[in-house]
Amino acid sequence: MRLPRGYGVLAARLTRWILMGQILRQAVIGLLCLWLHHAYADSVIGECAMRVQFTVGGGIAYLPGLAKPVVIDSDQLTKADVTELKRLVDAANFFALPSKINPPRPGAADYVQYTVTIEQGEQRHTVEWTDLAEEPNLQQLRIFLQAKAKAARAGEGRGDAPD
Amino acid sequence: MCQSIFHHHSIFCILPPNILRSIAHNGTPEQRTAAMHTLGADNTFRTLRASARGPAPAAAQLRARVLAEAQKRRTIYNASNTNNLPGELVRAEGAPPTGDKAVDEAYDGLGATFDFFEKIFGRNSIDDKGMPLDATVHFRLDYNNAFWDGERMTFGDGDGDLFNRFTISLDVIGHELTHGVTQHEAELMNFFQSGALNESMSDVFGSLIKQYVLKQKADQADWLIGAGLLTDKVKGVALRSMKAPGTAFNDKLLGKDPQPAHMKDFVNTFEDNGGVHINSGIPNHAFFLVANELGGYAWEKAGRIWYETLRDSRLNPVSGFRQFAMLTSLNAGRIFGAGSAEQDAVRKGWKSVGIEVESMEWILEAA
Repeated sequence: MRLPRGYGVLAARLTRWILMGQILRQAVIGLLCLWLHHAYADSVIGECAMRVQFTVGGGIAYLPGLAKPVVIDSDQLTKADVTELKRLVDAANFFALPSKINPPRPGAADYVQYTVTIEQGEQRHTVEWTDLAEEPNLQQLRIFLQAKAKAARAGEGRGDAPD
Repeated sequence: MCQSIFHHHSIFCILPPNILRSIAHNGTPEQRTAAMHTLGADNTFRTLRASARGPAPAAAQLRARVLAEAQKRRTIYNASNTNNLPGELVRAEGAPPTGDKAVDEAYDGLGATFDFFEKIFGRNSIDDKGMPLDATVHFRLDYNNAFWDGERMTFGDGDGDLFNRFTISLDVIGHELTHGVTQHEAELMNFFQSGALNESMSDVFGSLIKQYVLKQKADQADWLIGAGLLTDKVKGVALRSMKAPGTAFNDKLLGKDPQPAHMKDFVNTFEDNGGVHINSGIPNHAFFLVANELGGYAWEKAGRIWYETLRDSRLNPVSGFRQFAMLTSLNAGRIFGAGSAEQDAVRKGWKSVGIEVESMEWILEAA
């Protein structure tokens, strides 16, 4: 079917504008992604994102407010904190640790129990340990997480996480 | 038994139980303690005879414990706010105060606990064999806890925001050391009901040690665990209340004291090792009710009954509340007489927290 004179030109121009618009849109998105990737190259994009659940239990008393798990998302941390968190997790060789580390001897009581679950990409691992058996590398990770838990609770009100 | 620390009351060894019970009721405080010690030891022998552990080794073991000389051997270490245990030795037995509050409070608290168990129950230290008492203070930085690791006690300084130093409460020191006593007696597993019993035993004797030092009768005691431990910023008076479980704290950050006082409010949970620090409120309150009903110094009667029950070989590592309650009633009957006011008070106390024992006691007696 032939279009009337003038309509063909209009159709050609419309097609060209649409194509140019799409190209422009793609270019803007591309530039935005490049900027994001540059800005957060070391941290939170895609499979590098890390989600940590930190629970402190046990101790001489059950304190419901302090026993609640604290979730720490890497996308809510500063770039420096994300770098430090990743370093601590790597130093502890966290994903290769057994799920329970040196359970306490019989008769022991009131020690604090730490439970940390980390999700990163396809990996998900939980490790439990106590005051009685804390590896130096896990100690550094625990101190970092406790500081973040304290900051999170400070947002809700006064206080600190139980050690 | 006759050669125990109460040898100056050796006449008790030849007296029949009914006379001893009369002295336990009507004697001077010293005579009452000695008479109840003898009755309790007699009960222990009888219980051990009935136990599956066998009569000869058990009796020999007990005799050896009684004959061993009771002597305090305290050693306090300083972890200097690190993770390292035991830390540096800072005060040994007989050494003068150091001026470090945590060190000196730990030293005195260990001494008070040793003296309480030795003078009231004739117990020679944690294991009844003269075990040295070791403690470490200043563990980690801002550490909000105290624990028993199976061999020693460890205390944190608290963060100063929520908690003060953990040596500040004598009942907390007594609580931790009583975990050692339980470890060497009933070996109650620290999970679910047996764990709540384990925690309750520590609260009961922790509180009794404080009452003993302060010379308080049952109606004068605060029945709090950890009084003085919470800072002024926290809305609460202590970690737990035996008199009124569930009322020790109600704070925006700590939450509300979750302890029940009655079996109808028993908390089924996997948290806190199955609610060991939660449901301990029930046996805690039962002890308070018994002690309050009996009046006087709580360690003399209620404490004696609980202590003998802790040593009763029918109490096993997975015993629950009901079995423990029935044993306290049976031990009250053996020490103070069947149908005595003491046994009635024990049954009444348990009934008030939702545990009926009288109708079921025959099962354990038959066993």
